[in-house]
Amino acid sequence: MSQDKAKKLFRSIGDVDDDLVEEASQAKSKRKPFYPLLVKLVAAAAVVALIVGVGVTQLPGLLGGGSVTQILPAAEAGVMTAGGQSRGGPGTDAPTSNPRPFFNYNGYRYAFRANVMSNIPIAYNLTAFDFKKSVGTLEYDLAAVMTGESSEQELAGRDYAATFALGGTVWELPGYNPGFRLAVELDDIWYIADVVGRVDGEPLGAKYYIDTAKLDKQVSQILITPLNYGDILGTIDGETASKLLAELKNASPASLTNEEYETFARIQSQGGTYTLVVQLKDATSVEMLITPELGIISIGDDKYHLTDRFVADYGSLFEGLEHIAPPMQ
Amino acid sequence: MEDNAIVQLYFDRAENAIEETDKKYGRYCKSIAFRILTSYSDAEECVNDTWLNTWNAIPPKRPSKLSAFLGRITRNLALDRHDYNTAAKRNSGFNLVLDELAEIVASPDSVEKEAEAGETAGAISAFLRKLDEDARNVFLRRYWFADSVADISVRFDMSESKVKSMLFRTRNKLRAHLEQEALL
Repeated sequence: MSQDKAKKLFRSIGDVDDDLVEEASQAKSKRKPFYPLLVKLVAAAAVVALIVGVGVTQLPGLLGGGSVTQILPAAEAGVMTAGGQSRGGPGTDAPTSNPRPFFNYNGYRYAFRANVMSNIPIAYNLTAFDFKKSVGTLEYDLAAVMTGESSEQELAGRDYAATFALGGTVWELPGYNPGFRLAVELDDIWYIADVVGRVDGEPLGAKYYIDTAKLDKQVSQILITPLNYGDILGTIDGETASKLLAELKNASPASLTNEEYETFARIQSQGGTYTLVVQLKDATSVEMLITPELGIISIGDDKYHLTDRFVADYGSLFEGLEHIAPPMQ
Repeated sequence: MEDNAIVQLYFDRAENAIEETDKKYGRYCKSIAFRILTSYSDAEECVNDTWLNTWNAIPPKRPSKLSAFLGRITRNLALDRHDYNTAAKRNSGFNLVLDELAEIVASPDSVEKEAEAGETAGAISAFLRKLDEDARNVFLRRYWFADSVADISVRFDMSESKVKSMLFRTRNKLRAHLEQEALL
């Protein structure tokens, strides 16, 4: 009965004055303006800005082409791990209550690039891209499954199931391998999503991830920071970073036992896990979490064992680094 | 193409009237229908029906705001189809919108009254004009466009909890307003 009344009210709201509807159809945040293109911002500035708290996201396309930049307020400085898990940036120790924004496509899971504090996806100005190929529409409501409002568990494995931007169109992003990065448009607002795992739960594979994203070719440098940022503990130059990533392709998937997980969590809580901020030439970054003591690295949603050669060649980069325990959450 | 020119195509009974409408407002209408129906194929059918309804309605009607006119037709058609669909299955996303609105009309003190739809819409318009711009637009994005709370939070750069509390306050104010106007 109350649903019938609610529908009646919904219909009445549908008949409100046209000018109010038009205003709402065009309404956007006044606090976060969409800046015009800034085409000559150098990647180095983005690196510095990222750390000092001014988020700069630039997407010239890994294979060249026009440059697109959006400058966001400091609070919006969105940094994603390669796994898409948003984590605290400088001074961000508050856990978010928002669900992780992601969708499934072609058997893979893609996480929207999102604000580290709120998990709110970042809107990008992508007007310079000549989008040619849409690959589908986000059609199935995974958020409802996750919150228990829907019991359609089988949706979890279905392509085009999403926790965010339902109804949005998925596009290939010119210059990027769609296996790594896609764009999503909803109501003229554009988002970017990076692959983080496979829907069937099998590991993505370090080689697959690094090759698909062309990380070893596109890396400009790697920053080593504590798990929750704060300071730069070390910098790996571009050439060394490229070799490090090439070796990382040989990392093998790690299936941790409960006991190993407990050890992993303990070491992480003591500051023994570091973030590798892999800075790319397009001035975006992906992150990997490395726990040198256990020889484990997280890439995407999966964990991998570092090779002996990696430990031998690059283990010294992590020796003597300050252990900064992440804040309690 | 300008809205006036599109409307004129309908008055001229030009064959490309629907094509031009689809080109300019196809995605807009489809996204409204999709949020209510959560089915891409249903939304497409709904939008096709919108074009047919528009063809039949113009002339004689000459809408001053074509986007609102088309969106309203889409919305009503989608709601009809939702009624049909929900006989078999619930659409959780849109039912949340209706559940929230049910809070307004389900007041135990409310008097059962069959108000004219136009009268209620007029009262709601007057109410919305008194709200500040953000609260008004957030309300309409949720209850006119059926946007999800997550999408609204991105559009207005607010946390989801802020959107929810803003909607909660506005619903309470609207209930008070409708009661005051003796429309509940």
